[in-house]
Amino acid sequence: MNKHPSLSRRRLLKSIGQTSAAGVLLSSVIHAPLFAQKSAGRVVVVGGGFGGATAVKYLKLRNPALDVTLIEPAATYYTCPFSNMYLGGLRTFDQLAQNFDALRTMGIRIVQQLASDVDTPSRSVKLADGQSIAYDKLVLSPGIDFRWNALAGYDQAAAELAPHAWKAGAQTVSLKKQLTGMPDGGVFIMVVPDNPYRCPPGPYERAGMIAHYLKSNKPRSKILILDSKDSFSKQGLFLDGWKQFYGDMIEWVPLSKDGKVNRVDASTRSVETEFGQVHKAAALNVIPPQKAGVIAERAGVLTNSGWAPVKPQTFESTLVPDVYVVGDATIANPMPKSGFAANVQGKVVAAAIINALAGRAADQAKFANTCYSLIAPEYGISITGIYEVAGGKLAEVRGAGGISPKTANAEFRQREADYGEAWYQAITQDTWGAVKPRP
Amino acid sequence: MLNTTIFRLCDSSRRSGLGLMTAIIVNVSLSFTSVPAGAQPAFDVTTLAQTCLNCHAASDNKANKAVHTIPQIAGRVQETLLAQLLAFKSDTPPPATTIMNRIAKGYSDEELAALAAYLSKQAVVGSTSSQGGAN
Repeated sequence: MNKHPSLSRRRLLKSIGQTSAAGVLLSSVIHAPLFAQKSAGRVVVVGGGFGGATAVKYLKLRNPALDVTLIEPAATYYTCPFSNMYLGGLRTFDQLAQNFDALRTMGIRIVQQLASDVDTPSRSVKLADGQSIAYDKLVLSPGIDFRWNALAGYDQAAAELAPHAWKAGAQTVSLKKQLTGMPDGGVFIMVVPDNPYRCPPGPYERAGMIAHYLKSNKPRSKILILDSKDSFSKQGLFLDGWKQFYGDMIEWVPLSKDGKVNRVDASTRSVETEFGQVHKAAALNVIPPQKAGVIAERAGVLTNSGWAPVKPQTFESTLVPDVYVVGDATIANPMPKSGFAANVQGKVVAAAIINALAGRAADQAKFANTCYSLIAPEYGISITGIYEVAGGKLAEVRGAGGISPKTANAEFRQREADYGEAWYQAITQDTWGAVKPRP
Repeated sequence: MLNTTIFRLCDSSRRSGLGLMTAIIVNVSLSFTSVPAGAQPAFDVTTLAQTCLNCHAASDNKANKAVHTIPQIAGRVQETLLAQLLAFKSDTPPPATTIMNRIAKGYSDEELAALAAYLSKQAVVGSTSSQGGAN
């Protein structure tokens, strides 16, 4: 055991970012810090979700001399992952809460404000209170915003009556209230958008968790999924699992069977499809079309698609220099819009910025994603993918990744349910928890 | 579960001297002397290994049993880690495998070797969770 863990750690951390000589294999050589006395650079990160919180943490770990600022208006961040388990009654709302205290102890400056604008020529971020923060490198991790009224009748006021619950927080609580308030025998309707949107398997996991709640509390009820597309992530596994646990309780209506909703009347909790069918709900969950968070628009990093194109090796914007974008806001397909992907992109961006500030070429980038979904408490499924840069684009590594087997025993499904739980604990700790040497 | 068993055997060999974040760059060209240095970008095993932490927690969290359902990999014996990763990558993965076969196939043998070497030198660290132990 090292007798001076704190000293050792400090020296190690200072060496990070400077241990760069190619060919140094598994070296633990401690270099004299180059920037110990002054700031090694100013990095500002906007958004404290999976992408942004990971980026600030790993920037600071790699080079503690960096001046790292996180701008996030909320004191508490509620994760979308596992919010479906809250709806299903498997988790409390408080268990979705993350905060920034641990990151603060690492020397990261947390600015609890809304970033209202970005002046990219002068490289500064404007805050809602009028102050500005200058940067050398900027990371935007703004998540999603909704395209209000893209679905007729669904605006911010309508979302109060028919929650999206697609950003975790008050909306999630509001949807849970509708669920617990609906009568036995009522219909829970979920409106699902076309791709791309945050968390591709999320609506279908939600359906299973709602069914889990209804099965024991309101067993005569139904769930109707009105979908704007004809296929979805892990579809076969979801359909099999729903049948096994919930019989006919969940009905999925694809686009080709008039599943696309064109109009929402939130006050009567009714929706109208493309071909004029009107469905009335006892509880109504509308997941509307989405786009990158508004600050990305202000920074000029979006195309007309509403999403941000990035250089695949570094996730630097292809449109604005010195601005990096991570997470749901990016065009990163075939990587999905997920918390896992945002976290991995945050780590790649941290390395890319460290390299860029030191005048080094970018490393070869490789990414991964895993999404666990729960169908019932003892029944989990997964999808995973490994991604590399091929021909200047992100591409799945062929022969790798894929979904859980269609045929598997109960023990296998139980294990994936347990692994999903363990994943949540690990990734939230990795994203928002501080790293300290063991005493 | 085979993988858990193998990992448990190596518990006593965990090393605690080095911090988690020693920066190590592996230049791929080292492995192939015919490729001139700098011809292609090097992969940074630190960044590669950080992905593992999304499921395999780096911290030792006694208050939270769920996190250890997935085996800890920091500080395990290098040869054991590599053998396990290659077994996952093979066409006949260990019988209890759920997802690591799908993941390991996405990495070259060189990357897996670098990961095993890197992870074997990492200490399991204490962690300050951002949550109040509610989980």
